[in-house]
Amino acid sequence: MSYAAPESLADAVALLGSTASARVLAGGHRLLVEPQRRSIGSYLLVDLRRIPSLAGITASSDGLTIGAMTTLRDVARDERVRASFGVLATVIESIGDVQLRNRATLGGSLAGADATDPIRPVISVLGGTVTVTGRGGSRVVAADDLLTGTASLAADDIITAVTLPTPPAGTGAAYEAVRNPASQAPIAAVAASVVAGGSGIASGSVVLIGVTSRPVHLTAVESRLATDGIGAAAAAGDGLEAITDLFASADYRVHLARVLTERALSAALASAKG
Amino acid sequence: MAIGLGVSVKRREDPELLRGESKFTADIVLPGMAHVAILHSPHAHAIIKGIDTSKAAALPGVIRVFTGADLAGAMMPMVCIWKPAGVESFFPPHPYGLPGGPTALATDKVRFFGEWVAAIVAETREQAYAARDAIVVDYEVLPAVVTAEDALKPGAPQLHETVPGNLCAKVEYGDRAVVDQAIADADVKVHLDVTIPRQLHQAPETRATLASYDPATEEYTLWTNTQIPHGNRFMICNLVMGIPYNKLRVIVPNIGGSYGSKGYLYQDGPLMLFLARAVGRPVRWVDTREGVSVTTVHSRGQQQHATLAGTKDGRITALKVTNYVDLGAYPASNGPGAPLALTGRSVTGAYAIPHPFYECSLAFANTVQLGPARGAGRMEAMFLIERLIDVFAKEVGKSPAEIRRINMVKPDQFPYDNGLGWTYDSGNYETALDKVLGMAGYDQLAEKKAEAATRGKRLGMGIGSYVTIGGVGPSPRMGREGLIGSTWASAVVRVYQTGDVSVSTGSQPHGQGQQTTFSQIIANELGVDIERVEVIHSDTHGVPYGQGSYGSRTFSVEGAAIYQAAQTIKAKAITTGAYMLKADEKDVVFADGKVSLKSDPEQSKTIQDIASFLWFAWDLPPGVEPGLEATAYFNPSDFNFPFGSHVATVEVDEQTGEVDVVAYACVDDVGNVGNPMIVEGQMHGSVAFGFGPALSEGVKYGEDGRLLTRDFMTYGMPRPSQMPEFQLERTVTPTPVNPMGAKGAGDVSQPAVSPAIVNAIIDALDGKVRHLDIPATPERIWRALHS
Repeated sequence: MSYAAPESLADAVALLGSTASARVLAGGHRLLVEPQRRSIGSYLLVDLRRIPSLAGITASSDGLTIGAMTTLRDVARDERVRASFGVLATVIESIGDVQLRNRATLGGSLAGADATDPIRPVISVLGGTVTVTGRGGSRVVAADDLLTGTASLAADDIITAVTLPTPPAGTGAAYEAVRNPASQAPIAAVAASVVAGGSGIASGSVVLIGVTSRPVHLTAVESRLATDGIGAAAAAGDGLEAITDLFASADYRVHLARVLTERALSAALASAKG
Repeated sequence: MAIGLGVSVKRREDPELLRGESKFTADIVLPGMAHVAILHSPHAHAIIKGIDTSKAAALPGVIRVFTGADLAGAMMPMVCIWKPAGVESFFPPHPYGLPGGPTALATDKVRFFGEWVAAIVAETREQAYAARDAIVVDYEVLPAVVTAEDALKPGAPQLHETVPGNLCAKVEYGDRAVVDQAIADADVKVHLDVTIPRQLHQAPETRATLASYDPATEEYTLWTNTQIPHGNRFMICNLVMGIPYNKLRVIVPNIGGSYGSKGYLYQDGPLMLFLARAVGRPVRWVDTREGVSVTTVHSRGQQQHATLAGTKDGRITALKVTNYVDLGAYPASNGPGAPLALTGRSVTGAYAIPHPFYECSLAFANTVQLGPARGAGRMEAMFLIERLIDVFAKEVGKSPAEIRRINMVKPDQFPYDNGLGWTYDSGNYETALDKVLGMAGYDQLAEKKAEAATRGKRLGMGIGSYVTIGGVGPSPRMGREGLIGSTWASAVVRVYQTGDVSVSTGSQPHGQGQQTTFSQIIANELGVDIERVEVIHSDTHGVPYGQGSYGSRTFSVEGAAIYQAAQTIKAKAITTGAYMLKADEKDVVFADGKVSLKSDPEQSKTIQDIASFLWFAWDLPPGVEPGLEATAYFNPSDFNFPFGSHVATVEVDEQTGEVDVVAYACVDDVGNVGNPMIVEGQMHGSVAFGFGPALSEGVKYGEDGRLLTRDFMTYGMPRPSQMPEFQLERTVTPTPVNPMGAKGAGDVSQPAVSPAIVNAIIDALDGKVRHLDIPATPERIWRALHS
């Protein structure tokens, strides 16, 4: 294993492109568990900690930009995040423990996210974008596209920031989960954001994780929000190819999809009206 | 005055642990030390057709690769030292006719997923593991069986030629015919089929072993985190390796938790000694987390079928339990003990049941060895009886608390013969129950339910009462149970000429705080400041033969030996002190560490004066030898029987099945206590340990016998975030079976937790569900509600 701590983004990108075995080191948690599987031996670790301006949160008229190396703890404790994107703070605080959140970074969480990672769907329903720098320069990708697989990251891409757009008045978001007691990953979870309108919901975005092998938008629910409001949750199980594994059966997961969708929509709407 | 018993002295062992300076086995490095990795079987049942180690042996840093063939003639199989008494039993073979265990490395066949197949010795741990992955084994996979009931079916895959039908033994306690008749005659009968899953042991520290061999003296030294160093020395020398007893020294560094997982002879002890000699270098093996899951004993694992019978007014008349337990593919050293004695004789719980009967079939299956865990055997028994009590209460239309009061053993019934082999020593069972009901606010249950309903939650309260044997144990009695061994206690107490005291003990600390409590016994008896007491343990050199720590025996049994040794010291101090004071023995008194004249207490000699006098030995009383020390053995007249009642309050989310334990109250009675803070810590730990099996823990095997739950991502350990602040209170009912009146405290209250929580969940569901097996997972609750 070799190690480099470049002081510029360009150097980091170059190092990542220099060998197929290069890996980004941010908070380091996923790398930490890998030595046990002895897959780390030949890696070049590219530590991002010396690159200036990758950490920190800045506000602009468009919203909030969170540097990729900002720790989860700093994100969750930031007053601006808590005021405008409380659901993100809540979800982050459900992950690991304080020590872990003190080291884990937002960018690392997104880059290494697996199918049941809870941060990604929340950023997705909040309409967030991810800024990525790679060999071809810098680009902005919708978090939702990364979530659904419409867009993807190359091996030498580095996430540099996440931008959350200022939510219009009358919007709210929520996240509801039932977790596997071992890994604490959700066996089912729903992230939802809604725009209140009229007597109910004007529109919204609903993402389900844990139930199917990949995160999915509950389009059947989303399309009925304007007409059925929270009642649209009844469609949450429609057409799902739910998985059965050690922790839960498919039919229980589908049931949870409906229950958690209803709860997330209710909570999001309450927050929108709040 | 020295601080003695009954005082919450801070634990003397904590500072080095808190500073992170304590040494564990994996911290010890010897000059020239090599590292060992173990290759595990990937199949639950297979014939080994060949092992190709050539690639592995050629890898960098590899010193040598060993397979079962290399051990032939050098090592006998492990042994099981618990042979079910009074019945015919069948085991894997051992040359001495003892029940046999596994060989250190498999030879012709593997019988469980994880069985040890090869050992690699290399310069570094990484090189050893890299070489492990390069070994190629040719297996012919056989069908596997992973439960006792399946293993005992005709046509089931057979594990051992010496065990027809996979049946180790079938044991019965009580009179079947009488109990069958009592059940037939009863007005009310309730039946439950209960599956208690296996539980993984996951102590924070994995098992670890370091071995060295000195060819000059032919002496072996073993450092390992065992609860029974002396037992390991005996079994390794005399029953496995055939080396002289006086050529092996066993040393136990600090142990990072055990909970019953390290109280055995495992293969690693003899194997590492063999490897150290074979390669001529010290070797160290430190297990991995997955290794722990696949080869450290599993616990629990019972398939119970039970009928409880009684009258319409709620009096229990009979209990019949049929149990099936698989011991694993091979028996652990004490494998049969938990399902037989600890479950079978305990299954009447806190109740006077006129006609009890227990039968248990022990089987071998393609699973990891079965052994005790904290609450061993008794947790399975208490879960069953406490669930039956609640089902019976519902059947006769009385409250669970009232049924318990009607049937609990009454204070005037002690000593109470429970009909299955235990004689309960002392107790005030209803007092503890009433006290915990008060703490929990049980009489406000209806109001609590109504309040929770306004929040969309279903609230319930459940009781878990228990009587759980501790203080193991009276050696003749253990012999009659089938233990090929003994369980007395030993201690040597020495008062030095400086006034300092050393205590050599046969117990083996792994978190019990005995450095502190044993010092307190000496402080109390000899009037010495506890800072001047050293407690010596954990090394077979310099400590008398000791049985180790398990079975809630440390304070009430090993402590009693120290107490007895102190009495001998006191007697000698009185003789000598009187001589020094030129007085008659009857005219002096020993108190507060001094012998003084009754007529003039100012005239006194401290224990240090006396020890110094006996050290100089210039002027001894007639017939008195120099030195002030005593050796004592304590063989208790019987076990002791701690008891108590717990109440769990839960809120259930009916839609998701999620459970929140919102309050947990305990009243435990362990008789007199040495250090209340340490006892409270034990009780706290026992309750926390109970949350896992109640809510999330449970081993899962695949159909092919692969262990599916083998790390923290797949196996649901309990978390502090699941637990409310525990309300912990005690009552004090001393036992007559030891001079301190103390009962066991280490693992005695854990059995109350699962029934308390499950009874609470079922109460919360207001009659919609009759029974839930553990773990009571959200899906299991949801399914029960919607089936």
